[in-house]
Amino acid sequence: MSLAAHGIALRVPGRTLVEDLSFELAPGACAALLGRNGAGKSTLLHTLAGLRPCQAGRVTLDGEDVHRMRRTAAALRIGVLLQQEHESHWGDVAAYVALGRLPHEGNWPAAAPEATAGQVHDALEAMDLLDQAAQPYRTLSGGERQRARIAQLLVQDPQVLLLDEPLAHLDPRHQLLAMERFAALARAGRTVLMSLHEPLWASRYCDYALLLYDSAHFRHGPAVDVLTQAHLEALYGCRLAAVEALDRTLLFPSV
Amino acid sequence: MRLSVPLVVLALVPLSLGTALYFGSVTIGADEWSRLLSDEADPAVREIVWGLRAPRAATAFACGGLLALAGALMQVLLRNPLADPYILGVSGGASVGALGAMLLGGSGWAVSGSAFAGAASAAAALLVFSLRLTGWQIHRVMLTGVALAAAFAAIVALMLTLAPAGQLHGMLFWLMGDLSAALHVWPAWLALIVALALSMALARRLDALSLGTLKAASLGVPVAATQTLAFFAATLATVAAVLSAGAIGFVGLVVPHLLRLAGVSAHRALLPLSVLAGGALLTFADTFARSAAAPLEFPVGAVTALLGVPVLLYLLAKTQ
Repeated sequence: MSLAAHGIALRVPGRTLVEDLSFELAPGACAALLGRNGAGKSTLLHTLAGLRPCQAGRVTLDGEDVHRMRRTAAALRIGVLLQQEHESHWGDVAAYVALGRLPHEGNWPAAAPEATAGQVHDALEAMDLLDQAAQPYRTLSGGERQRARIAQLLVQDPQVLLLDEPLAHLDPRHQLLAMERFAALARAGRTVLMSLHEPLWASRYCDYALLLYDSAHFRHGPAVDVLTQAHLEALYGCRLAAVEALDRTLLFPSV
Repeated sequence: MRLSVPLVVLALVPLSLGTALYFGSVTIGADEWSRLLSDEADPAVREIVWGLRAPRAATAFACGGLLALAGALMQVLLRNPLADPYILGVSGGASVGALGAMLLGGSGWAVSGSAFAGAASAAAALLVFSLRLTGWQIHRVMLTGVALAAAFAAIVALMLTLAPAGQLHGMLFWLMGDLSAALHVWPAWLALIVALALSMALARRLDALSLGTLKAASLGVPVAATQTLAFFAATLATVAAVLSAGAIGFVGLVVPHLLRLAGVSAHRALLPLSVLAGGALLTFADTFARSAAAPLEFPVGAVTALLGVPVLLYLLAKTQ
């Protein structure tokens, strides 16, 4: 499905985060959202998911206004990986992941618990959590919880994935595992937009990039044009060193 | 969830009701029990068992179920493990209404009606102050509720100071919880069935809601509607319990927690098991309260608190 912003403005008390932002992400897009802390990345992702109103403009999914959809209908198509949630789940990891089926099942699950169990198993396997399936969710480490959240999103199985810092707390092996999975979903025709703090992941996996500057400016376009040393140094306000590796230019913070 | 947890809870139900029929200020012999079953019993014994102990046990069970259900709902609604049915001051409103009626010389239905009016006013005030178009702001609900509860506690203290000595005993019993004054069995049971049915229809959404409102919304839950319905069910349960038996503490706080620690997490299981376990706990406590030092009766709220405090301290020590 194609997700589009039409001239949206985002304001929080005392500050304008974004003014008149328009872009469209077609099915198969794998896009990166970059910006400093507090630039409004999470707010933008919540707005695109319809979880928060925008102060001007509108967000559409295949032409339909996401802010006018019923919550269940929206959750069937748009999945969000939140940066924070209340850690008060008392069940085991498999039960936590199975909550992702909520929009599909409603209050009383359909008469196919094996199908759900199969999907949960696959998602746990994809996120390398099979060994923790029967463990209480509360006992997981930060990185394991992040993988459980991603597994829950895989079970939700939306057409559009909005990921808020999906690599937070993950070790390098699981960062790679997660990014490979998101890229595979995009290749399969899903629409992926993720906020990232590491330009090297963005330049390696994303074909489109959106930079949110402070003072409500933004820049977006094909990743090769946007993720340049000059643009990113201006974005983060620090110097970046360029290293040639993996057939591309990778950028690292430098003094 | 281990299968043994529901089995233990299910076994407690007939055990608690049987204990409530068996124990009391009059001891009934074994031969009398067999005659009671074959319908040839002494009418006085029959009246004691079926006319006095059975309705009281049924009321105690329903009230315990209502309080545990309200507690489980409040804990997920406020995302606060220490929330209990009384935290938002709805029962405080009922206390002010009941004591006000007693001060004016009322009794029976007048006290119940006045308590109901007090509880309804408190719930309405809570909604007016904290409900927004975008859904509930949990911290506003909490602060408003805690403020209301403090105000009602102050009014109750004033009323107790002003009350003539002859009325103090009845007032204190009402405040601490007392099942001997329950007029009828059916209002509590009716409220229990309605509140449980309503909250079971929300059970899966409540699982998501315990992860936060934004998360629940992202999983397709209509957050404001779910919160409002759950609040309605919790308020109905609290008010029905308080009207039948006064403000009995600790059942609503401890029972859902015990079940969670025993591994029950999905609300679809937690809510009905809370009702059964809370009902059994209050039935045991009430039987103890009326028969331990018979014919003297302890306020059942004091018994549940004395049972509940050690359990709570144990839980706090055990969970880091």
